[in-house]
Amino acid sequence: MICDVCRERPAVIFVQQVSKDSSIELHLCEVCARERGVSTGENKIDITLGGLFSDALEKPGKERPRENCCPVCGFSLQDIRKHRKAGCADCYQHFRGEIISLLRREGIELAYTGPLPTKLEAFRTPQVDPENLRAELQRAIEQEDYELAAYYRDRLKSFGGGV
Amino acid sequence: MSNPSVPSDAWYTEDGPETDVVLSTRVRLARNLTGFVFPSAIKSDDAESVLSLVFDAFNKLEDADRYQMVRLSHVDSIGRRILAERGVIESGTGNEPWRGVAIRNDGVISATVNMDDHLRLSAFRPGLSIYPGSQLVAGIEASMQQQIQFSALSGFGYLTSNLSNVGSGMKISVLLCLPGLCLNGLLDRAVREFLAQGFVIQGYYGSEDGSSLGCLYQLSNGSSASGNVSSQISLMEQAAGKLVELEKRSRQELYASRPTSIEDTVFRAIVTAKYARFIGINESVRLLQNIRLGLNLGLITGIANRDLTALLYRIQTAHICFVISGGSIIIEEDVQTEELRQDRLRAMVIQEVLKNADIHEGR
Repeated sequence: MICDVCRERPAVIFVQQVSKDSSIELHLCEVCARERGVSTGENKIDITLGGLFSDALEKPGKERPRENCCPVCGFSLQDIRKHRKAGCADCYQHFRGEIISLLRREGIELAYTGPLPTKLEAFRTPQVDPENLRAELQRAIEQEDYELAAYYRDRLKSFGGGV
Repeated sequence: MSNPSVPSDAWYTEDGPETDVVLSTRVRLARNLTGFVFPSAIKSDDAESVLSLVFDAFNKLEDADRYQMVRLSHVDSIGRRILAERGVIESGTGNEPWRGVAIRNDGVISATVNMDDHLRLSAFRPGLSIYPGSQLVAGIEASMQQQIQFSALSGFGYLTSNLSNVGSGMKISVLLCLPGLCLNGLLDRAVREFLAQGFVIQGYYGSEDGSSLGCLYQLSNGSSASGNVSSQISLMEQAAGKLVELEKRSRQELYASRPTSIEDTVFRAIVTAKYARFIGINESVRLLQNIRLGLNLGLITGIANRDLTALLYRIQTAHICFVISGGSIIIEEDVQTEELRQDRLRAMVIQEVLKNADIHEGR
């Protein structure tokens, strides 16, 4: 019997969750069990069963990376794919490449050449002001959040400003 | 009876190009304000701000006194259903206080606030009038840009909630009556062809499986992300023109090859429509489209295409309920249930319009 989560190591612990109309059974190896707060020692088993099962059942194999979300509205790429809707204007910046390829797969070539708002050049909001973006970029680098830093760098580039 | 059920904002009582096939055209622009997330993710206080900004922009239009702006929560349920039947809002829209509509007093221009997008501005025209409709909305949108800044991004164009709506944000919808293509069985092929070319074609009057109640179909552009405003307009004009041609040819060929059965369909429709006492909504739609077919084949006289188009709105359930609740129409005492009273009034409305319509024996 191998571990249901990593599918690599042998399972040493068996967990069963029984609810009114169903029961879920999982075989875990020691490493995966510990990661999920199930210990094999004499200590009391302290577990968060909800998290344990949803994680393990949704994506057996490797652990899921933290989801990539739009920093302004919190929509994830999955939300956008599922509903074919963006949550805010910044989604189009944040998921630029993904949205372009999403549309392309549906046969829609993004090639709009028509007019844009007349005041597009003139406006500045906290989200697009290059000064703010530079500060945010600096903060992201300090916090070693390189994903976020790359996002701010790309946005600065898209406004034609240097980093 | 002085048509109490035709309000002054009935743009659909006018005539337009190709009205024998095309009932109406709608051109809609989707816009979002910068600095606010889209309505699907918005918080109510931000939504309130969007609502006031948009209503304020309407108030600053040159002809601001022609616009009525109202929060959807202030519209009663029958009013909301009428708005949905007219195509101003989608049925099933939530009635949070921060959702609103604005309507010009002729009904030609209407707008929704905080539905899918912060602002959706529509122009309705009778018949096939894509370019005139687009000019109308573009003019108003340009004036509103003096007041509010819309989200846009170079390369993407205007940013909208629906991914396929970015670019111009323009959605053009043409409502067609296609009894010819329905009867000769070519409709499926035509629908598939238009779908393959990236257009959206779907049955009108609600059914979700795509099949139309009667032969009413809506043709629209599948995406507004490519090209520019004028290329999108001309593509839609070509597509709609092609469908109109196909339909007209089908009607003529049908009548040439099966005159007796076509006459039977048309004459049954007019007789039922003129004399039945109760007519349900589904039956009405079917009768009206067969009458339209007859009218355009010269088998029926005494009525115009625009009257038939107007009837399609007036016979819808919420419109009928509204007239009943007005209490000015007297319905026979033996008609008891609400549903029967609706069907009775629907028959009366239809018969009032058809009172001069008659059969014309062509052969």
